[in-house]
Amino acid sequence: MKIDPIRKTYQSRTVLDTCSMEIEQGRIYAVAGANGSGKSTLLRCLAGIEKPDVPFSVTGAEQLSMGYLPQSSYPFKMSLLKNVLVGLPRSGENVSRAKDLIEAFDLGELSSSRADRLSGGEKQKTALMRILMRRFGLLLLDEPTSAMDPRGVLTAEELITSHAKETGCTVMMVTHFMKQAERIADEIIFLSSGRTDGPVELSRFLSGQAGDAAREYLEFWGA
Amino acid sequence: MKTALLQAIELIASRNGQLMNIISVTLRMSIASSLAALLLGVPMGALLSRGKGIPRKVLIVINRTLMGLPPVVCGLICYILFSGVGPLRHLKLLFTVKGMIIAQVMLITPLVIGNTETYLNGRTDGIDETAKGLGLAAGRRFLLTLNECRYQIVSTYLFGFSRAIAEVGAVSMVGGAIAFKTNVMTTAIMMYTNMGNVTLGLALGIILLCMALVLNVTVYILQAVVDR
Ligand SMILES: Nc1ncnc2c1ncn2[C@@H]1O[C@H](COP(=O)(O)OP(=O)(O)O)[C@@H](O)[C@H]1O
Ligand SMILES: [Mg+2]
Repeated sequence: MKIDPIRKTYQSRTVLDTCSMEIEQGRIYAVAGANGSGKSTLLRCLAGIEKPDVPFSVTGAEQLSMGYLPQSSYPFKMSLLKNVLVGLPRSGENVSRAKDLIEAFDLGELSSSRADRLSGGEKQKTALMRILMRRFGLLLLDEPTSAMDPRGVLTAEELITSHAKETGCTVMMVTHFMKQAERIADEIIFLSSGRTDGPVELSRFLSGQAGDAAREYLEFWGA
Repeated sequence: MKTALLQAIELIASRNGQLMNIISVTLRMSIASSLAALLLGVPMGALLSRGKGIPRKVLIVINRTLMGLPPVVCGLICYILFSGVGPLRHLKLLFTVKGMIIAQVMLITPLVIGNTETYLNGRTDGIDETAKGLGLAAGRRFLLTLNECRYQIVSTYLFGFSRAIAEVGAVSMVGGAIAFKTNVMTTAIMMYTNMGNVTLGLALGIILLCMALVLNVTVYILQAVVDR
């Protein structure tokens, strides 16, 4: 599918100005770039949370459903299990899938605790499980593992990749960690001051063939 | 004070007809008006909290002004509306409990709107983005928003109820403090005191306080349940 150019301006500052991007169904895209480079804005525009300067369209995918996980997790005032199941019918299938996810993160003991009283990382795990309960055509994840412990990070990555495989959805995931990108992503969308050349193969990016800005970024963040 | 306390106990023990009627009218009026104000005000406050730009600012200022509406002015407006020459005269609301309830709803709803808006301000975005991101429909998002402020909703209800039960200016103008019909605790206290029966007025005041205490204990427990 093809995503039209997206531009977003706050007051007079343009924080996002992308070219048209070719996205392949079923692939996992890492979205990287320095703080303030427009990663969240890109995801928010795609998810319809933020209104870009001019409406854009996504062509080549009829009826694309989008899931979006905001950068800061918002646990609802209910138990962890209820959070994971929120808005879904309490069918045996859903409940057992929710419980499997909770077990994968080793949070079984907390499943009846209020989610808004969990630790930061636990809240983030809850938010991730909640979105992984659903099927989308395009799944937008904004730094979904930033507050998790190393073991949680690996579990989360496994869950994300297996979810993508099972449902065939495309994933765009913001990350600051090239190691993480290497583990799960096929391609990378690198943003620098709101601009990007579109997705590049991860190996190409990591070997420094994706422009000066990307090379500079890799100097500090690579490895 | 001691005689007033004794008289209060005596009044309750004797199940004095007039007292029972006053209590029942007071409760009916306070519960109905605070519930109606809650049902009207919470959705409006939630809507206002997700509004944007100048309309939102204008509405907030208007609502804040209405929050400070003096009860007698509200009573006067209702009096004019319901009176023999008013546009709503055919509804025959003057000197009725219904009329009093309407006046109270006018007074309390802005407070409920203001409380809800203040609490949700800055929180709705987080709730809404998360829920939208999950693909939840507008109705479900609204229910989630309500669930997020359920503790505050209970406090707001209590706030409205306290306001209604303690209010005297508007209800005396609209209700007229007619015995066995529209007399409530506050208007009765005023009436007896004016008639020189300070002890009886004080006794009624003590009963009113006790009612407020019972209600507060109930709500406190309810909040603890809601906050589990
Ligand atoms: N509502 C807003 N008003 C003004 N500026 C904003 C707003 N939201 C984001 N920005 C600015 O846009 C830039 C990009 O933000 P963001 O996309 O969140 O960056 P990141 O790549 O770190 O996720 C930042 O410099 C931020 O300050
Ligand atoms: Mg961000």
